[in-house]
Amino acid sequence: MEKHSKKLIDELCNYLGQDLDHPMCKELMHHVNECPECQFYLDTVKMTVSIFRDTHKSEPMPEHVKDNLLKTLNLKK
Amino acid sequence: MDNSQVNKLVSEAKKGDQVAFTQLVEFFSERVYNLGLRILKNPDDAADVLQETFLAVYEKIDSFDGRSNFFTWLYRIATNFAFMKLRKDKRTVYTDQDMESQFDNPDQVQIHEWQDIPLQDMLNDEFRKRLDDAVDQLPEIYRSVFILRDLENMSIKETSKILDITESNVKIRLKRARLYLREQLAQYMSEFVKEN
Repeated sequence: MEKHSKKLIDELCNYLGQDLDHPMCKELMHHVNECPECQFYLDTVKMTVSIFRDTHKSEPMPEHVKDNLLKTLNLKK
Repeated sequence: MDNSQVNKLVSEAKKGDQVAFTQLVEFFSERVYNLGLRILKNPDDAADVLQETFLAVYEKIDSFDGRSNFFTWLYRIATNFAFMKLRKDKRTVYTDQDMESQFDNPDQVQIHEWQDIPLQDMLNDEFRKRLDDAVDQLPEIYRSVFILRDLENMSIKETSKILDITESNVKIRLKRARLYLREQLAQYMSEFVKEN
């Protein structure tokens, strides 16, 4: 991304800390859509989040864990 | 269960209604367990965090004033217990300063066209371990934001309330975590392309 100004990169990085589908800055997004390099940068961040989500999905809680919890709290099912 | 139903159960539980408290436990325990699992990566530790969290909630529910959402309050307690356990086990050794150096030159790794890499071929145990290791390397302040926002799917506002930090701080930390993880992933993908 050497050819881009520091300001633009800072703005893009700010965007990367937002919700990734949030249209924070129309001008920036317009640029990103026109610039393959920025588009790739953004896409790979989105993909990173997606891969981590896919590999860290919720697991069913074992029944004995809930039973132990209720027992500890002296609660009935 | 919507917010008003939760609030009603909380109100009844505060009066000592054990059935209402049991319903809260039944409704929220799996999410708290998974939060513990994502932070600690160990089912036994996640079960411990679950127990500690609900014991604390049981003892403190009288002091819950309803200014925040019950779920936010519950998650704050669970997150604190999980990270306390992590610190106690000395599994977090990376500091914010360590992280700074990672961002001096964020594009060190050559990034291949990710679309061309067959991700299904990569989704094996080794890949998952590399991803876990990458998250482990995040300092706590980044890891907590990444787990809550990106893995638990909390909003930026909810994340800020749970961690008691500003929304701006959530965004800054999230950006750093995401970029760091992207670099780690890019490194692994680069190795994968060379080997295949």
